[in-house]
Amino acid sequence: METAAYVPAINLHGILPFISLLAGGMLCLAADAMSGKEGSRRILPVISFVALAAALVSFLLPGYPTGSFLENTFYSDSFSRLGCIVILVSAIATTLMGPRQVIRRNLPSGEYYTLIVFAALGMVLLALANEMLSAFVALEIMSLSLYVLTGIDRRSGKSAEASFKYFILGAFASAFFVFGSGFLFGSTRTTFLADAHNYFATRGGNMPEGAEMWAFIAFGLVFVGLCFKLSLAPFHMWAPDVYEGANTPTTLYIATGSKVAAFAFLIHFAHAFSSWQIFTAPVTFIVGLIAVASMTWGNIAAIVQSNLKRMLAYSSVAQTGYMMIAVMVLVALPSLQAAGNLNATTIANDTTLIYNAISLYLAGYTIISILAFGIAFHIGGEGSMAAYRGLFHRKPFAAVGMAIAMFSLSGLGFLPPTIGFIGKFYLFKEAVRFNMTGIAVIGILTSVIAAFYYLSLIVTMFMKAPDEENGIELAGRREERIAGLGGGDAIVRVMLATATALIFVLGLYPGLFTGLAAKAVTTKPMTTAMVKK
Amino acid sequence: MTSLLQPNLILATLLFTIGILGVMWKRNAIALFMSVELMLNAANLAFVSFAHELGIMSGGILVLFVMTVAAAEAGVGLAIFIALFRARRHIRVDEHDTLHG
Amino acid sequence: MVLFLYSILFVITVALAVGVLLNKDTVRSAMCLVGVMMCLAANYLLMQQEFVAFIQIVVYAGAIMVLFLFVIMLLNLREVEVLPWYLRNARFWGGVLALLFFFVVGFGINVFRSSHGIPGVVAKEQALAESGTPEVIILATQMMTTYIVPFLLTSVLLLVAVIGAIVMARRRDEDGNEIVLDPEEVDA
Repeated sequence: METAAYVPAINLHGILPFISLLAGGMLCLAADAMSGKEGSRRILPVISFVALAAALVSFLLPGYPTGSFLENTFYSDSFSRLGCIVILVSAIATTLMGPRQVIRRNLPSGEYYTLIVFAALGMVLLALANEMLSAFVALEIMSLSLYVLTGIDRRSGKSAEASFKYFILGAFASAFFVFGSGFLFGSTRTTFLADAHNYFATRGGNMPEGAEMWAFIAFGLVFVGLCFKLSLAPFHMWAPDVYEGANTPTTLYIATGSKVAAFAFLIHFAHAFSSWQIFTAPVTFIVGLIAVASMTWGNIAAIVQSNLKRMLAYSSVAQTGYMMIAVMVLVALPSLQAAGNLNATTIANDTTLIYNAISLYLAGYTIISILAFGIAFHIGGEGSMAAYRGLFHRKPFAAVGMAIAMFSLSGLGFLPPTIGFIGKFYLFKEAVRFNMTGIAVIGILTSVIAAFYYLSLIVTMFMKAPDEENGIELAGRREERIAGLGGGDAIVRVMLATATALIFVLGLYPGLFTGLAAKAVTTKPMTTAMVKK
Repeated sequence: MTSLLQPNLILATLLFTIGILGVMWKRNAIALFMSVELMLNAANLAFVSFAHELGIMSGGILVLFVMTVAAAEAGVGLAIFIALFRARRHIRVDEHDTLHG
Repeated sequence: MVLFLYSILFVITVALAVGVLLNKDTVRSAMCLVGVMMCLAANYLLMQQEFVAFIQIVVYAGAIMVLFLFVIMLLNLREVEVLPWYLRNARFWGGVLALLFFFVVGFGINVFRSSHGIPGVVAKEQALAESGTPEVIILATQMMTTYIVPFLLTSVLLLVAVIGAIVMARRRDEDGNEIVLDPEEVDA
């Protein structure tokens, strides 16, 4: 058989972030092998920080490709670009907390930083993926790194159990994902989402009866798989245990990076189906159901938690529920267009508006999480509520920072506007604009429930007298004194101050963030690259 | 030859369901993971039978990827089991209920 | 004839899968799982997917399951109930949900009439298939062209898996320091 040498179409700028992350991971391994324990503790944070920052910069540089690239396997639009920026910011925050965490718990620094960088690679790949197999492999790169990061603290029994539970339920979710990919392949004959989009656009009206059902099954199974990763309501049972058992930087990473990545892929995946008329109504309903379940159950269960990390886990279930409102609106858009309410030019604008609303919300969620988990990390005590009693009298700055995070997370801080409030505001505004007032109202009502536990934490921090008897905060301090804490403390402080500043700056000028992708905002139909083929 | 697609899909769904039941019911770490492997096998079967029915010879591609991933998962998962086992070796099982599921 | 063979295979596969589910002894469960994988390989052979069948036996039944058996024997996990905390109270509702899942998906499986055209990805290999090219060559061609990116990504995945397996399985002392075996001690 004679075949000419196959030269894949590669856009160098497009894969620059991947290259820098891959090189960063490799360098971490090599540097760890070449230097001693102390040396690698000093060098590796720098290497992984530089790699992550380089990837971040290459996303920010003008001229990052839009549309399909690298063999149509990836698709970059304004949302996935902003998603990647958010992912890398959360990875950088995790790295910055690294030096202190490594010393505190005597972690193997080589593997710790390498896995952070590789997990970031998996997340970025997943956020851009537009093909089921690549998405699956990227998902696994991300997940395997996170399972190990969760269990990397070998001195803690909780950590091993959390890692195990995360692993089993993660593998369970992956199986759903693969089974769904199989059904998508069966109904559309391809694993490329751009092709699937084309298929639904051209043949969606007269598909064979079997294939129609399979497409629904495919969406359902992949959606369930992603729901596990996003810890949405009926599939969130791993989240509280994993958040509590994992070390705090990893918890932050799981709560923000992995969610943003899975969410970005969900948007790509749902987009592939969006050209299919009969798809929108039932799927809007199902997504709405999941959103309502997550918002209510997450917020109600958060009230009774006695551990800050568990509370934040349930709170993040609710926050992801709010994000699903945006997915609902996006899925419903084409049917609104078909009903004659919108024309083709406004649909592009509307898609951009919704993308901006979600990415602002995701960015807000991530920055606030960085602040909240960062302070939890700073205080120590593995998130036990006892450590926060009367915190204001011991560590006023930490208490004020946590209060800002809680105010912002609850969406209450509108004077001055925080990014948490602005993100929620735009999200609900888009929902109301597209006649989804019901779910917006549920969202606002559950936010009021949420305010209860956020505020009760603030009250705990400010009102109660410091409880000198409880040993948790003292134990944390003792541990640090023994370990001989280095300069890692100052870095974490600077990071927390930056996060606090961003909460207010982006709250006042949300355009600063969404503008990052402004040059890339061309909701070019996903099919352009396919014509070339 | 009659099409084996429909029975094969039913078989795949059955295996997948049994895998789900295993993950829900089993109480042994390794057995849980074996149930997940069963689910992945079911996915492979569905993919191959679709590919066969549609006349796409490269249907084995997904199987190869799933196997790679399964092997990687098995490596990491079994290492996690070993770590878990070492962490709780000296403690009686029912006393070690540190995380409430 | 094929149908007859297939029906027997179907029954055996399901029976072995139920064996995986119901066996209390983990080793027996694992052997049942090996049986399921063998049956699936036979199923692939019935569909003329020889290469996949071969890989199924070598990699799944041969390598992955041996790893499982090795860990079961290493940790002596045969009948230990290790997870009292895992998904408490999920037995009943888990069963209900699984049955629901089966009926929903089973309902969706209809007879499929493959009468519609072929999108771009497939056209290339359709020509190959018609020219009588062996399955392995088609798989390899697809792997190196259409699916080159996921193929490259698996290398990263395997690297991550290696790092992860090492860091989790390595022995550490009470303080989390790595235990380095003294070569002389190993000799003795």
